[in-house]
Amino acid sequence: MVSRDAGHLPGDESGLILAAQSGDRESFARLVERYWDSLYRWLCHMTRDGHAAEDLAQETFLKAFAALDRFRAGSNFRAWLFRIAHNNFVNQRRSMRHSRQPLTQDFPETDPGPEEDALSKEALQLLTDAVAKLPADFRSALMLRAEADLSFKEIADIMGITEQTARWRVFKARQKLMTVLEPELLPPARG
Amino acid sequence: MIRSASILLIVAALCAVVGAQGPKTGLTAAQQQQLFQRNRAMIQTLVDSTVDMSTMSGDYVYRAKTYRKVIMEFQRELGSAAETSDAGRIAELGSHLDTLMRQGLAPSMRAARQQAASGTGKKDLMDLRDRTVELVDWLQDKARNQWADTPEVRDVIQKLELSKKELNESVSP
Amino acid sequence: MAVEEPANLPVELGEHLDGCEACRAWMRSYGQMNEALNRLAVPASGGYGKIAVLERVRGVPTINVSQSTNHKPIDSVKPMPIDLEDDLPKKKRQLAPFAAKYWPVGVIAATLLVGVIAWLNLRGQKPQQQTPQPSDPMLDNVVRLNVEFAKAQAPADRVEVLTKLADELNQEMREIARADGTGENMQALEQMYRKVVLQGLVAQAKQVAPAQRAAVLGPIANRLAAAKKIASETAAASPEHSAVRLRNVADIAGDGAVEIHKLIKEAAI
Repeated sequence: MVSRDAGHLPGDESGLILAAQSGDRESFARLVERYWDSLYRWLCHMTRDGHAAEDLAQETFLKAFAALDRFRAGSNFRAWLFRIAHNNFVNQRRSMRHSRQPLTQDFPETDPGPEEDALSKEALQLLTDAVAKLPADFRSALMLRAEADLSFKEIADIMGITEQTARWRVFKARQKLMTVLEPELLPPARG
Repeated sequence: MIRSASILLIVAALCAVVGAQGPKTGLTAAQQQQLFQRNRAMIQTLVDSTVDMSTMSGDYVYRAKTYRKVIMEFQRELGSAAETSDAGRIAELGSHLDTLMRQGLAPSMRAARQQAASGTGKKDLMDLRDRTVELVDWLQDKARNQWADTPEVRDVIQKLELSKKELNESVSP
Repeated sequence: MAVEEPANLPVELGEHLDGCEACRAWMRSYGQMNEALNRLAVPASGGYGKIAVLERVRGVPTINVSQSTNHKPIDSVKPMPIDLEDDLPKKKRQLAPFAAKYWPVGVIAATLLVGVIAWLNLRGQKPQQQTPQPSDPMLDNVVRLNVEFAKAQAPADRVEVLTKLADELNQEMREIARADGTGENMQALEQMYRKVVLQGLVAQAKQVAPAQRAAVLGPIANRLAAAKKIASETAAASPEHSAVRLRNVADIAGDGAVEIHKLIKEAAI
């Protein structure tokens, strides 16, 4: 699997963060460019609503920008950013319980990708639906792992749970998805 | 069979009507192509805004926000026109800006104001209002200093003053 | 499934997999599923949020506007980051050493200069005029349709506006098909048409109440069918780089008509 950080040197990001903390706005803008897509995607999976995801992503980056001096240099910026996003999502969910529910959108079809190793279109649709049906906490943990490539420890920090619970949630989510997908993916067992 | 024949007849009639729509008033194909080339970015932005509005028809905050890109495009085009002192272009774009502010943006913002809770939604509306008003103020100031004696520009500047008021009222409590 | 790094399995598990075909098959499927998880499609971002963030962070609009070094802030208004170039020469010439010797030349030059300025003013050349371009009917119509859409309350009204917008784009394509030398403009129009018909019109048509669908959507479907026919006919008479765009538009119109008919049929059941 190709690392999502391909092309970005590890030292490059610390340099950007330090520059941003010293007041270089352009450096923070580059961090926005770097993380916008993965954050937006994760928020889409959480909210099931592209517009809500866009608003939450915007709010997250603005809060991060305002609180940049509180970020501890040397720690994981991605995890810090996703923690802010997770808190925003949770707060929004609480407030939505008392008011109108967001319209959920039909998500576009996923491109199956290179033929040899790809899931079929039907399997991808099953997977999309199954992910959407996961309870929010399980979906959150799973997609933090899949989209943001975070460790179980980082997921635990973001969600305010223990590392063991984070691992458990990802495990249960994967187990559920495999149960749904098995009939599509695996040949029937020989009798 | 009668139904299929009727449909074919209707389609043929529509083709005749649509096909008979000649080139737009007095312009050659080459002129139209040039005009489209000049206005392509603006047209694209407006088409995007219209379709984007349709995806969240009931969400007026989102609808108002679709105008952000439109205002930015006007900013860019008016800036280019200012650099070349193109009074005709200023008047043309200013007139469209006036229409969009009064009939598109202000009503959307009025409706959005009622929907927006405090926080990002309301802040975004205020930002959009400020940006639009800033653009109009800049344009008015330039016009007074440089193009004041062009009747079209004077006319547009006056209209934009009214549009500005309407926009401000649309987000006032 | 709880392993941190699937590529680095515990030794015992690795050994088991070496000997078990069923588990290897399962592992392959598991790998496919994990691989697919971060490729699941999500709605494309509208871009507004990112633009808003970048604007606030940078403190200036994220548009490519030239900056003049001679920019003078306007008194009561926040300065726009653009200004007219100052055309006047900035260097002052040192005249003192030559003044005593060449003052008559100076007087003649000054007189000539005054005369030229007076002549220009009499011609009424201020402000600097560009070759006037006609106004663009397409831009006029697109602006008008945008505000018409903003005012439209019911799905039926919105569908009608989107159909008009689609017709406008279709007509523009037919009219410039032979004049567009590179096909770039035709491509842009095709993309807009696709967006309007498939993302706008068809999606909005789904919002029309079932009871109204036949009456509202029937004529829309017919117009799309007509647009398909005309685009195909125009393609036949156009240069190939425009013809391919017109054929695509014909397909889009056809697909749109099919979708609309499906919606009408669903409502009738």
